[in-house]
Amino acid sequence: MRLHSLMGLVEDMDEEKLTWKQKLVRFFNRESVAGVVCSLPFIIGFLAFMVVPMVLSLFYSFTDYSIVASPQWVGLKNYITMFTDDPLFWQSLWVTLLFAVISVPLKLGFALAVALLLQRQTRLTGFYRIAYYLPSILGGSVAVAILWRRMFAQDGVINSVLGLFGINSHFSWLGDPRTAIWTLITLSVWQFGSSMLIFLAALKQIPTELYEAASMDGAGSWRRFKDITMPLLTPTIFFNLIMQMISGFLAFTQCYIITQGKPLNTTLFYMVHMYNTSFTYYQAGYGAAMAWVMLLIVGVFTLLLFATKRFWVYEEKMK
Amino acid sequence: MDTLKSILDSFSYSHQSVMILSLRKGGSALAVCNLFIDKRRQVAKGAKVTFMRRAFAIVASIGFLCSVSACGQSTQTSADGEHLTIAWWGSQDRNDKQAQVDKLFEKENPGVKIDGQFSQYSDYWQKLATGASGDQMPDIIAMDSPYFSQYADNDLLIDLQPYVDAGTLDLSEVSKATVDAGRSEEGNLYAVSSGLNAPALMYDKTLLDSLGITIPKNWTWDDFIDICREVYEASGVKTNAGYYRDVFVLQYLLRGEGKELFKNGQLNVTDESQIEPYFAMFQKGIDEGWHLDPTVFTEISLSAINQDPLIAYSDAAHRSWCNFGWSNSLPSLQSLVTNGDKLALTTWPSSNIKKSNYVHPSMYWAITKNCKNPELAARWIDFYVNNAQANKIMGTDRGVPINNKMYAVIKEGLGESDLTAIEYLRKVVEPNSSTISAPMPEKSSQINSSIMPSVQEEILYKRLDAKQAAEKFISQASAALNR
Repeated sequence: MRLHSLMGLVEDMDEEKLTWKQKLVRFFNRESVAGVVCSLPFIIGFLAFMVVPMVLSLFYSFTDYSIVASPQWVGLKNYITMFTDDPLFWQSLWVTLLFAVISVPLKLGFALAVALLLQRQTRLTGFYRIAYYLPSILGGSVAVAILWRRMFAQDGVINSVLGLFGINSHFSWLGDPRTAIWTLITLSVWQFGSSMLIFLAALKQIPTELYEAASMDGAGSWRRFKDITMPLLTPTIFFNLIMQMISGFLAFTQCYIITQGKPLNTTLFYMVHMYNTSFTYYQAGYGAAMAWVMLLIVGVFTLLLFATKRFWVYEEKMK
Repeated sequence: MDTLKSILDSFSYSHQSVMILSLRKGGSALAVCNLFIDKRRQVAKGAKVTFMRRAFAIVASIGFLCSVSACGQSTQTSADGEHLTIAWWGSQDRNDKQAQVDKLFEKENPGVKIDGQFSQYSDYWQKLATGASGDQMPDIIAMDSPYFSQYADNDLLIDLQPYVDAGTLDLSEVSKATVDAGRSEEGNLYAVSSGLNAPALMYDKTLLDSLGITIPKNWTWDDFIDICREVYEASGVKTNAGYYRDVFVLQYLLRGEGKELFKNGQLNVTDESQIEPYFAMFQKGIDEGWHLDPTVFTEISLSAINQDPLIAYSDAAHRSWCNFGWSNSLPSLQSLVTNGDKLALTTWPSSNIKKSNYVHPSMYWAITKNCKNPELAARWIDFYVNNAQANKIMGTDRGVPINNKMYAVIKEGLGESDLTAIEYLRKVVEPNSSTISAPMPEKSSQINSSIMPSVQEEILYKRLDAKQAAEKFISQASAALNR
């Protein structure tokens, strides 16, 4: 068996005459071995941090597991309790849905609008791009979450700015059950940077010939946007929509740091409820069951989005 | 050397597969990079880009492999021979003091290295639980009564009795009641209190004096409500009647009537009329305007003592004249006062103070089953309890020292508020109190951290009246205990 070798030194020798060093070299130069070795970092990481924890969590979801004691098999009890006897499950699910359904389209709208503005090349474009991208880097951080709480406090910046316009408000944005969720939605919309960058990249991919041809035919700027930019952007919008929807369902930090679900659980995200159940109430089995239900929900939503794909996402026909 | 080279070569040989993997992870990062690289330049410098990619792939893979193997090494958090990890919860003040004590122990025991780990109360228990499930708990942990049964009954703590018998851990100067508070139902000694404290209402004495209001000695809940109303009417300052808190106040109230909140792992209250007065107090407070608006609490971190409405606000609408807490927190609250007011403390109100009140051996030290050198850990606890210098450093931070002789030792050099806290425990509580209730049942943490706070919240937001609140509390709490 002659195998291709990059070293070229050991190629012509007989298998038996090789020293162990040369055998090793030859072994590592086999294409299949090299492939496995190169993928090893991923395979190890995937097994250790994805597969094993997921299998374990599936097992735990059928147990009563208080973390400090060993798990007890209880069958479907956790799932039954969740759907029949846990008002907070439904409340948090509703809050999360509301959050995702409102904040994601708003965020994408902002991202697209800003991307269109920043598309033009000027001397300061680079600066603006970075400036608008910064919130998404900072946005998930604890510091910004705390800042947000201060801004919307009764004596915070928002009320002071309103005061400048003659509205003397001591309204508690975070304390009122009707507005608290909106402070979190605003925070999420403010972090439109990463979607914006993806939109920018996609805008640059659109061939300028199309615009030139359209102009020649007398299309105005709105027409060019509607009939060229938008259709060619739909695959990117679709991608952003799916990514943002998933991260919307899995939102955690904002609620955990800013509101802790207060007031009256109107800002209690599903993930925070799950986290509290597992680590504060020590019901990790129940928490694991909640995680699997969320996985199903996200899966269903993603499937639904894919099902609508052929109605609105433009795909170039291969010839 | 050749082998290494061939490995490296094979890395670069199939760098494309690695790139695909890293692409998946860093999809958006790459999109960002592309934005800033002009396309034409990219084509012109194609060769260079390929080289960079190759280099990147190699560095990335090696880095990843190293980080994976590093994971395996860092699991050894627990003690080898001369190394102790100690975890507790607390404020910055406590952490500084604790660090001094640990240094002192290291000095007196050359070769011993102590690693202190601290967090805020709620984070502490989350961290500890994950440590317990991964068999990686610190050697010595701070323990609290609501969690005691959970850890003791699941064999996560070791019995300290052998070390007491061997003389390593000397508890001869500690009262029997205090020692027994650290025993499980079977009588095993799992924890040693790090200080004694008692339920205490901290209040702004300067404010009350200026309004000419005094708190009667054996005051009832009606007296409390009257004072709240008077303070509010005279100054606009409101009341925080233990809002968004655990069940300790309710338990205290029931003790005054000779009842217990929990018995045999179950809720001992079945009739909502028994606990309705407690919730009625909140309802009255919000209806009459003297209770703090619940919105105030959405803007602060409840577990951070420096944001407590008693000391953190200067405007009347956000300020509370009192705080339902524990006697040992007086010094740190006093140190955080900014307007120069003097704080004082008194008992929580009750229909019968003697029945309600109790000395609370608190913030226990326990040694976990993950500890590799329990003998050294026991010696550390002994040092904490019996060493004069250590006691001097800690002062009354975790309460009055459990070692009866240490009281005299630490007395000199203590601040005024420390002395007030000690006097309160020794002169007010000790002679006029009853035995502490049994530790709360294993599944009570949900009641303490979620059910009770949200029921109080719903009253203050006027979604429930006192009767409905009592009903809701009973049904949810018993469900949680039986889940």
